[in-house]
Amino acid sequence: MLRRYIAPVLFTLATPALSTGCYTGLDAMNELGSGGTSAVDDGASDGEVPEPQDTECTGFDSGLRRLNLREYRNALRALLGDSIESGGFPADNSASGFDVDASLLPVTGVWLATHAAVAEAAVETALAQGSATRDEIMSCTPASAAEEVACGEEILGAFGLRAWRRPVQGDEMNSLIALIDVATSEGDGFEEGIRLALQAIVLSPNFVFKVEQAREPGEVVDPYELATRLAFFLWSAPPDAELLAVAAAGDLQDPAVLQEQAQRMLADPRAEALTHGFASQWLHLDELEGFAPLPSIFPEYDDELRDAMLAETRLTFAAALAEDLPLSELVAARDVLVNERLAAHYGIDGVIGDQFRPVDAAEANRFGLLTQAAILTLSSHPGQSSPTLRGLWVTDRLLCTAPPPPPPDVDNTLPEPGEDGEHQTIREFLEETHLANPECVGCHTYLDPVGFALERYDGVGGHRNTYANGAAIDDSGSLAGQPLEGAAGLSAALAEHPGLQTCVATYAVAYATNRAPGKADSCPVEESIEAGDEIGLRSMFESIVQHPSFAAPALPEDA
Amino acid sequence: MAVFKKMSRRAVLGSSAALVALPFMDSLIPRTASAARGTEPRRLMWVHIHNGMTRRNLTPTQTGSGYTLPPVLAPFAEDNLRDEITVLTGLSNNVATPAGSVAVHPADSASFLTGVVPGSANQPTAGISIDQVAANTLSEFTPLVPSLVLDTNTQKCGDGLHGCVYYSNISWLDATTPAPRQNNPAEVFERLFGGLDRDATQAEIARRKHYKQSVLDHVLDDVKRVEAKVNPADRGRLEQYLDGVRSLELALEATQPTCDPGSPPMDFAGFQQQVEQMYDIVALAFRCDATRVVSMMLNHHVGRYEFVDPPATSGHHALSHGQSAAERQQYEAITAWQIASFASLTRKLRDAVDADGQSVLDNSLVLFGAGHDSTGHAIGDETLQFAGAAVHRNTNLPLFLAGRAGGAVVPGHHRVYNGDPLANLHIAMLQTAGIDLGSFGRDGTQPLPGLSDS
Repeated sequence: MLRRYIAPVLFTLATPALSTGCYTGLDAMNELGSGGTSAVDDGASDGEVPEPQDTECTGFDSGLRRLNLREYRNALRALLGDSIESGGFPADNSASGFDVDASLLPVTGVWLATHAAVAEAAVETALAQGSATRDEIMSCTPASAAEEVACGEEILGAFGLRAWRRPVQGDEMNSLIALIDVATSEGDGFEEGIRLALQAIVLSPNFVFKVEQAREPGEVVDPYELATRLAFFLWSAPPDAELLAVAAAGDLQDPAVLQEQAQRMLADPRAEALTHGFASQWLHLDELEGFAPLPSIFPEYDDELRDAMLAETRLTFAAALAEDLPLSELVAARDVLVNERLAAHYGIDGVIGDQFRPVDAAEANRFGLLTQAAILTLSSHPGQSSPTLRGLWVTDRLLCTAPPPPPPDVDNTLPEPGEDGEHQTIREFLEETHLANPECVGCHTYLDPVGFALERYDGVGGHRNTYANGAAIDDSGSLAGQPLEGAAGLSAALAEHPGLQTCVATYAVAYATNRAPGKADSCPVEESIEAGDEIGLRSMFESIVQHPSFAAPALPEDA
Repeated sequence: MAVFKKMSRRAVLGSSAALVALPFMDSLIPRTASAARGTEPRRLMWVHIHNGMTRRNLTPTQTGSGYTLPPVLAPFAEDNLRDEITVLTGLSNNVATPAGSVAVHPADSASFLTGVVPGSANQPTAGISIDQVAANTLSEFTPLVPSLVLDTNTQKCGDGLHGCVYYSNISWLDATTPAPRQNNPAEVFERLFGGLDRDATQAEIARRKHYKQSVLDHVLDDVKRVEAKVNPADRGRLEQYLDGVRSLELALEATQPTCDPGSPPMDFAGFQQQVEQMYDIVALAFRCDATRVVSMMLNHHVGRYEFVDPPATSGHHALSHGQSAAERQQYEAITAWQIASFASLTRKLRDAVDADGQSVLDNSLVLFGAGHDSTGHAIGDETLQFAGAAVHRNTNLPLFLAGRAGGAVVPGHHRVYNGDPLANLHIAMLQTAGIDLGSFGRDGTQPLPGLSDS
């Protein structure tokens, strides 16, 4: 089945850079024509351009997905209390996409062994005398052996509903109750049997996976499955009691009820997961954690500054979400969000204390998201700014038009300006290497000029008027061949770029439907607005939830 | 620093207790299968280095035995450690050619143990790696831990746009599943020995086993119920789950190691200690026969080595392409540290006593090295410069073996090959453990010859 993957505008705009063979030179590239992109691989780039035959948006493609570690920890805490330990798991792989991608979440032997140990200890902790969770779980006490089954069903039914995000079925309950007999046969009591049953519930695939019933195309998922999709999308956590109650009442598929629940959940503190899950991965903020600017060149950079940088970008996203701002306003935000440390880094006086507050961005020579220190730093080399990496970040993260990676093993390190005696600035160096080399120019004439516009910011996002060696900065650049001046010009051009909203919507849909970005499209968002209209961020997430594709059964590709 | 209590090899070999055959072998090894493989345990380990190693002062100028140790190999001069290693020159990993959206560095790490070219950056596909091929067979001896997949990096990918999954993984369970890595020595210890409770009574142990088995029985029923419910195309993930539950069942049945593992490692302070703790645990795991297969990624593509002399002022990758004399010097210092680290591993394995009373190293074969050369550097081939930049090639790889594999390998030699594929070395390594592969990866066709020549 061919689907609408990428708006044609993206191909058109990016043609000079998009050929898979673009580093073989411009001439060869023009013959090849357009091809796939790196982040948004249309999966049909073998010379065939997909023809839209079918305007239905594609939804989930897996009905059985392991919880990722963020979700797993949230689910375990919701079930067994905040004090449980859940360390020791191998890290999830996210490839170049998001940690929600079903194809990247295997249950390996190591994972399951870790889960078994964590679950056993967590149940132990939750049932310890005096813990609040214990009172919550042990809702009844059988006065006699005759009451054990009824009380066991009450306890395990309530716990199972929360753990499996759906009611426990009769045969499942029978085999759980049988565990109470196992305990009594060994001379232990009712409570030991409950402990075994709770372990079995947590160790079950029904807890570890989001499990969905196989269905035919055209059907819809059941209300519990929809509630689970919704909660893990907006909260990276299981449905709460209210959402489960709505699912139980059977109304969740009613668009008004779904809307009401989505709005309630987006206003809930748990929606912060969209910042830490979606935004951090979309913007590659996690890269900053392992990134170490050279202390010899950037002595001002330390963990406190890094944390302030990350906080600014995350708070900016959270604010845009809360205020339902369109992406154009996120990209060209007029304010910076700073605390004392970050204000000092930006050269802003008069900000005292750790609280973040908005300050007019022009005062700090800042022009929106691209000029936030976190973004500028994570797209730099450890020792200096990199126009190429910044151009790559912008085209990949904001426009979904990144070219393919360089040919066999090129050097992506940069000499210090002036070090080789031949060039004074990184711009001169790149113009002499990338842009003068027929093998490089195809892609780099697209990438580097985007980054040139950000050259007034150093490798940790500090503003500069000249390079360290005194050389003047030329921050004229271009985006898809259109000339522009500096960060202000680039931010304005991006804010107006028709590909921005389409690209970010594609990432949001990939995140919502647990797919790789290359397998997602912006269709649910596009269908919710008039062509050319902007949509606010919160409305974008709501439109994905509201679209019929969000309730459509998962259709695995191999089926 | 030493984490585990160590005994000198001579002291242990001299004591009569060590010569008494330990009982665990009888209970763990199925007689039919073990007959063909000999009764001594065979252990395999692979250690991968990103970004190549310099060949300056690393490669002996003479071949065969009795070669003069080059300066970088000096750590092997002590205690005749040189007699335990084989220096390999002239092997190639030609499959590590960048393809599609995967560049050369991720192609190196992804192909090093798989022998195949990885797929695209977004949809990870490599192939099963040689350590997992070995683990699939040798797991019959160590069902609790078929293999350890180790990593000492705690950083993210660095340049994360292209092929993060390939930078971060050398070991693959199958074509689409990277093997989970563990980078915390204390957690590895817990996994190997955490189930031990020496104070429990037999009755208590039996009761716990009954409970765990009952819980797992319920889980197996749940897996079947879920299988009946979901789309057939999704059932592959349940197969994995089922395998995992069966491993937990095997764990209940398996005899616990009879060795004393001592105390778990403390929290490590810094990368160097982390690496040493990992080596200690490998020696311990082999000595206790807790696993027979290990793969380890020594640091990351963008890893940092501030502690070498002179201190590395850039990341390893940047230095591997460095053009200045200072950068080359730092890169060489990193190579020297890596070799010293290999000597430390070799020593730990030699000093550990295996169940049969032999040195663990005598029963083992360790491959240590890089999937790149260092031709980007002044000492390399200057004709391959690209756009003024330094490049890596996948030929003439810097590779070393430690160990005798029970006599199948005769160490102490510098063996020179003429472009033989790395995959043939993998085939030869598995052959020493009684696993015969007709081919492996894209270009592995036969066991690498000559490793037992004296």
